[in-house]
Amino acid sequence: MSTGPDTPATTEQRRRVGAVRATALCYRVLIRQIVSAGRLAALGALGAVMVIVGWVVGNSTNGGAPANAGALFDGASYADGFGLIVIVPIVSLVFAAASLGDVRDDGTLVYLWLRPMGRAPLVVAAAAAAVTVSLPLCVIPTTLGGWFATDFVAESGGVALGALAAAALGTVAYSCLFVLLGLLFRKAVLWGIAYVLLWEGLAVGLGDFAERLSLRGYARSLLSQIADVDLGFTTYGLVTSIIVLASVSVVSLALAAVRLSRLNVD
Amino acid sequence: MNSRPRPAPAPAPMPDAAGDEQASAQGPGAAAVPVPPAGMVEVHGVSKFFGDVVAVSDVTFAVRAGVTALLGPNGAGKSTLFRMMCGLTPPSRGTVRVLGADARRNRDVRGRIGLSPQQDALFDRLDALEFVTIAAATQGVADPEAAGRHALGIVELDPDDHRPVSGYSKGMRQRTKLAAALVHDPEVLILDEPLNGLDPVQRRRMIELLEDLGAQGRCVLVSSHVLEEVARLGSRILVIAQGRLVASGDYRELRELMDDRPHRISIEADRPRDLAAALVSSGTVVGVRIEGDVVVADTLQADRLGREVAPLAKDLGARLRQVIPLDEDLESVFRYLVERR
Repeated sequence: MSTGPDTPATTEQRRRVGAVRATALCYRVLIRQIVSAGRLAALGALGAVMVIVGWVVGNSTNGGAPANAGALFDGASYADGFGLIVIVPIVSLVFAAASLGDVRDDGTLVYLWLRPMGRAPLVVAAAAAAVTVSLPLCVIPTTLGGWFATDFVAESGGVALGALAAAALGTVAYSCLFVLLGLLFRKAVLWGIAYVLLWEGLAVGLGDFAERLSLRGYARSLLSQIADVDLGFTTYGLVTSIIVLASVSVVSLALAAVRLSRLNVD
Repeated sequence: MNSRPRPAPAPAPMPDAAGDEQASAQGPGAAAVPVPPAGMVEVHGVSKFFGDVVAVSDVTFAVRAGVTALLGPNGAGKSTLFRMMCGLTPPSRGTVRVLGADARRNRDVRGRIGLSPQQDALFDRLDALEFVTIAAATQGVADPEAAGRHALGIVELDPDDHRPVSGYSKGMRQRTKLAAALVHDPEVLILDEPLNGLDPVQRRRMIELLEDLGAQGRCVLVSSHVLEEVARLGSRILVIAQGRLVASGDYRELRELMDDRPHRISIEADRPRDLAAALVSSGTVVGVRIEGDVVVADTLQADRLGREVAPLAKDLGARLRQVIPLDEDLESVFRYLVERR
C-alpha cells in the first residue's frame, strides 16, 4: 500500500458541495438503501389487495342499476377508508422512516453526515427518495381502488382524480413527517404505526379540533372537494388543504434538518 | 513471567508524548502541569457523559502531524473521543478543535477530516468503487471516480470488482472504509481500529501506509486495543483507560512503565502453605494468598520469583505443577495505570 505521488484529490481541487449536488448525491445513495424486494413485495401486495377489493366493492354494491351518487360516495369512501387511512400512511412510514432512520441505526449515516455539506440537502434527499418509492405504491392502488369501487359510473373520473391528488399530496406530507420521525426515534416504524392508528385513525373521531391536527383530514378534504362527494366529515377548502399539507411537509423537513444537525451520530 | 525484576517505581513524569505532541495525562507518566494544547487536533478538558455513565473524563491533549496511536481497552472511550473530534457528538464539557475549528459546526473542516469508523457497516448495495466515489463526490472532489479508483488502488482493492460490498470480507470492508477516508486527501485522518480484520500481510502494508501518510504531514490518529499493534504503528501513544488519559509518550517508555507494575503469579504446588511461607521469607513476594492448592503471589520481582520458586519447592519437597502470570493481559496493564492515578 502506497499513497503514490499523484493523488487526484488535492486540497486545491476540494470545494464545498452545493445544495443541489449534495441532494442528488444523497438521494442516489438513500434510494438504493431503502428499496428492498421484501418491502416492495409486501407493500405492493397491500396495494393489490386494495385494487382487487375495490373492484369487488364496485361490482357488488353497484351491480345492476347503480345510483350515481351512491356509487361515487362508495368509491370516495373506499379511497379514503383504505387508501388514505391505511395505504398512504403505512407505505410512507416504511420508506420515509427508513430513509434516515435505517442509516442512522446501522451506522452508515456518518458517511453522509461528516461531509462539507449542509443538513437540509440530506433530509430533502431522504424525503425525495421516500416519496419516489412510495408515490406509485400509494397513488396507483388508491386511485384505481377508489375508481373501481365506483363501478365506473358517470363522473367517477372525479373520484379517481380526487383520490390521486389526495394520495399524492398525502404521501408527500406523510413522508416528510416520517423522515422527521425517523430522526427522532430509534424504532420509528413502531412509533409511526402508533401515530397512524391512534391519532390518524381514532383520535380524529374525537372532534373537530383533533381532526384539524390530522393529515388525513386534509387529504380527505382534497378527495372530497375534487370528487365533489360529501364524505360526512369536516371538509376544508381545496387551497387550505393543499397549503396545510405543503406546510406540514416543509416544516417537517426544516425540523428534521435541525434535528440532524444536533444528532449524536454513531 | 518475562518481566524484568525492578522495584516499583514512583510515578515518574513522562516526557510529552514524543516530540511535537503535548499531552496532559493524569496518569503515571503525566506531566505535572497541563500544557496548553496547540496542534492539528486539540482536545482540552473534554468530558462526555451518557446519562450517568462517564465515557470520557477531563481529557486534554494536542496532536500535530504524524501518526499518533490511541491505545486503550474496549470501552475505554477511544471511539467517543474520535466521535467528538469529528463533531459526531458534542463534548459534555471542554472543547475539541480540529484544524482550529469545531467540526460539528464548521462544514469546511468536515471536508478536511477523513474518518474510518469502527463499525463495519457500509452502504451494502454499492460496490467499492461506487462507495468510494460517492465519498469523493460528497467531499467535493472534482473528479470523484478518478479519486475513487486512486484511493482503492492505494488500499489494494480492485476498482473493477463490481460485487456489492456486502459480499466483502472484513478485511476488504476495512480497506474500503480506509479508501473512503483517504479519497479526498484529508489533512486529518481518524481511523478507529483500522487493523481489525486484516491479515498479517495487509496489516503490515496498512501500517506502512499510515506511516507514509504521517510522514507526508498529515495528522493520522489511530486507535487500537492491542499494545503490540500500536508498537508497530508509531512511537507516539496516548493511553486511554476508563475514559481518562492515563499515560502518554513513546512506546518504549510506556512499555517500561508497564513492566514496572506489580505482578500477580499463580503457583500450583503441593504443600502450598509451606511454599507461601518460604516465598515470603525469601523476600520475593509482597503478598500471598492461598486458594486450595494454589498460591497467588504478588511480586515486584517477577523474574526473580520465576527463578527461585522451583528451587524453593524442591527444598520443601513440594511438587510444583504450574506457574502462571495472572496479569499479563493488556486489561491488567490498563487497570494498573488507572489504579496508580
